[in-house]
Amino acid sequence: MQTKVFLQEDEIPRQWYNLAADLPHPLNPPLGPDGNPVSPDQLAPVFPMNLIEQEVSQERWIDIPEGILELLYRWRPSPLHRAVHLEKALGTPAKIFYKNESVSPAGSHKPNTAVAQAWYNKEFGIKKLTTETGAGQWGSALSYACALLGLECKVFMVRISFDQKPFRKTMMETWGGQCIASPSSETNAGRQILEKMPDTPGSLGIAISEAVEAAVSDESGETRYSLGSVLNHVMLHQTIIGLEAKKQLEKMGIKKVDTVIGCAGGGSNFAGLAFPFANDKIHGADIDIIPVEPACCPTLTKAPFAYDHGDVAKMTPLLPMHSLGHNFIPAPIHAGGLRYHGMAPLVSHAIMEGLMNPMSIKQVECYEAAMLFAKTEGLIVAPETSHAIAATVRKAKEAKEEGKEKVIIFNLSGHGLMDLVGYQKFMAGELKNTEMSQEELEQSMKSFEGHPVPKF
Amino acid sequence: MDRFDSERIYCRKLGHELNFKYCRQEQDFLPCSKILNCWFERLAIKEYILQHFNEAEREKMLIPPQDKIVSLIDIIERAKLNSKNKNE
Repeated sequence: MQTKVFLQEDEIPRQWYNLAADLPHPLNPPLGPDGNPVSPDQLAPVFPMNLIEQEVSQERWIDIPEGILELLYRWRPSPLHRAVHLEKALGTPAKIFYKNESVSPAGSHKPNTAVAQAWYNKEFGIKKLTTETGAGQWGSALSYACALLGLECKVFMVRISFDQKPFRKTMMETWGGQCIASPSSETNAGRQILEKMPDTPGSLGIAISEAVEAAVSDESGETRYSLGSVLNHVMLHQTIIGLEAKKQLEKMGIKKVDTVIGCAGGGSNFAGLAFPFANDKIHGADIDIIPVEPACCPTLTKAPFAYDHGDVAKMTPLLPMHSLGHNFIPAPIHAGGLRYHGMAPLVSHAIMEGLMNPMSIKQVECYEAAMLFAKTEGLIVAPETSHAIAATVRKAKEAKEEGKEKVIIFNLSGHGLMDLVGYQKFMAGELKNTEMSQEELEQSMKSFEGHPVPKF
Repeated sequence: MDRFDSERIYCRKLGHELNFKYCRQEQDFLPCSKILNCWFERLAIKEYILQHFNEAEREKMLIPPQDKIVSLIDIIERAKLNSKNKNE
């Protein structure tokens, strides 16, 4: 039985797919603090104009420059595997496929956009990129990309991550990146924080401020900032994942995909696999597309959709939330969770359009699935990726119960070889699920009584 | 206030393990906006928040984040200001 499919370099997709062009309701432009649509000029201090054009593009297909393809060939096209051993362990009639993005030099999908962004910046005349990173996945991906293109790379790494993940710092430095603990004394933003709190462990918010300031304050104009998730051009660059997968499935003789699954934090690895399939769905295909998130507070997932925060894409100015301080947890957390704050606007919008059906799964189930996957398919996946595997296992079991030979594909977004603590804790029995009591839940539901029902 | 400080969890923002102490002061000494969702499976986190943070603090910590582009523009403006102050 064929268990994996490779594409040759000359079979790699030569265009990215832009879902924004096909959304039934267009994604509104983001509104700035003055209430007017954000103009490209406002973003010019941090992004080159060629990337800003992609950010706002409504073109369905965007050519991948030959120079970027030459960089991607180092690890792309990535293999598509059929998880026959997992199928066997589950006793499912489903055919399970996974796109293996862990084969990139940095071990995840992130270099797909890192090399594209670095290339466009270099084309624009930029010599140096700045960014922020937590554990270092994005920082190492961008350091690698900059090394390929001869750009300088400065990464502001959250202090607590800098101290706890020294090997990621080493990865960045090995590729020539400069990794600095944030807050740092290199920026005004960092110095102000250090003055107030010398022992602060930092935060992503501070690190972003430092990275942006480092770009904006370079008077030579040769420095820009790079972001690895959430934005439209990042989603665009990642669609090469799904476009390759579609070609590979075709080679495997698969004519119809039933379920597409990806873990969704910022949304880029999910979007990468899912958006090309969403295109099929928009044009009539019957596909269940599932972004998977960590389980939320039960009040979020079980409570009715009881408050309209603003317009669908969150483009209106944020409104003060009601119910603050009443006898349970304030409303913003409910609205926040239900509106997928922090997730890419394109993904959030597609969910609201009904193109995607989000699922949330608790951590123990995720680690159970990841352990099963490691024992059957061999790969130890990143903690985020375990969510996609857990959803796949659920869907494969459903197929078994229904006796249907469904085709399921998920994105294996990264390996977990530098994130083994969670596995260790799981095996030690230190991860536990707890349930909210019915009484607590009913109390929570009461907090929605009388609130307006949101509209879409 | 510090009774859960040594509890550890995988942080979905940063991508690694850290302790509760970080979560309860991530936003300039206020808890991270994701603290409820991250900890509800393990701690009586709602009760903890209600006990230790007043209405105004809860409002501030739980305000949903801005759209990324909008927040970037805010940061750019602040960075320009910082840069200008540095040069003066």
